[in-house]
Amino acid sequence: MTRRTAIIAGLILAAGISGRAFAHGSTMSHHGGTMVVTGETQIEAVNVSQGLEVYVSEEDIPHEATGLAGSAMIVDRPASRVELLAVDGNRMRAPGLVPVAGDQVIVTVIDQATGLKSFATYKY
Amino acid sequence: MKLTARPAMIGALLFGSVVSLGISTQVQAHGIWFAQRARQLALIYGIGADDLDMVKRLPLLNSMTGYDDNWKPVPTRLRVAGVVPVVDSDAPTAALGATMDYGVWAKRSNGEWVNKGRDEVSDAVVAEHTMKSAVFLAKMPKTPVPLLAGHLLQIIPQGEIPQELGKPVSLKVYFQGKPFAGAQVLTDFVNDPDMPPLMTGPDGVAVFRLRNQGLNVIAATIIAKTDQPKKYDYIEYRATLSFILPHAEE
Repeated sequence: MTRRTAIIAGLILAAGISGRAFAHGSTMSHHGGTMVVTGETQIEAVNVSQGLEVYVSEEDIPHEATGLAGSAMIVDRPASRVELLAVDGNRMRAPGLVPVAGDQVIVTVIDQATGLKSFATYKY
Repeated sequence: MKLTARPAMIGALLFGSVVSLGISTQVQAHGIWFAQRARQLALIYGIGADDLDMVKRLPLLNSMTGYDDNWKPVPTRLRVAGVVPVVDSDAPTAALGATMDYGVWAKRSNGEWVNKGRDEVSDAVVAEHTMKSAVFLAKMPKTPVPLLAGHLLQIIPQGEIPQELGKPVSLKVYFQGKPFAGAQVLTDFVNDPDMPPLMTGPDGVAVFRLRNQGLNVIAATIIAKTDQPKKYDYIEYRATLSFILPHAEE
């Protein structure tokens, strides 16, 4: 995740209804990626060689990935959509999804217990 | 339904006739609007602080739509989450819309409202057909809010919506795609539903100061001529526009 990407994601965050600076939980990255806070849900996206990794927390408390579902997709490229798979702890992975500069990625995370769906948008 | 005279005159005359029949505009004045509930966006049915049972009224909805930043449709639906229906979309949405045909209601001589037309209620003192709609701006729009399909009555911001309580906002009420003079506007439908309504001017515009540094639910109501006089005396359209002004950083 480049610094430019982080700045752009921050701008997107500032424009969103539920991702403003007054949201609950830290907006700081914990894994070297870019954090988006939507409501009380923190979604951090990190580029790794195997694909995009996503860490999910609720008010700074890691959310067990096995209780989550979701997907990641590059905007305007529906064929890029991949399901998020639980890896360990609060980490999920979108296998094979490797954004490049100029891509905009939407990560969708669904809490399987409540049905709560959260979106995070990242621009590279 | 056709308006056969100037909208302002129709609105004023019909509203006057309704008042003369002794109907409080609050009796059947419920509306629908979008608001956050437990981190999700919910569709609410009610008035003021009365947050009534929207789940059982879901079959009355005609449409539920979502839009992105450019007003391009996003597949969107409602999902029942316990006691409230919440918005479920396939992608982030910048705006939402819903329309509802609340059907025909008659008021009996004993004051009871029944879900029937005048033709089925022998002692009906008044009968009405009510249509409700809601638009929610999840983000302040970058482009003008368009007229949405199926929203026969719609409130459209004129220019940018100020982000601070107390700042003046200008809204235009459209009915069947045209500015409507004489629409009743409640500037704070949730917190002050009994306020004397503002009336839109000849150009359909109402200007007022924003009421809340939080959720603002603005309602517009018009009374239109009946298209089935044996069943109901008039058609009431109620539209809401809701949006959130951000609070200060915590």
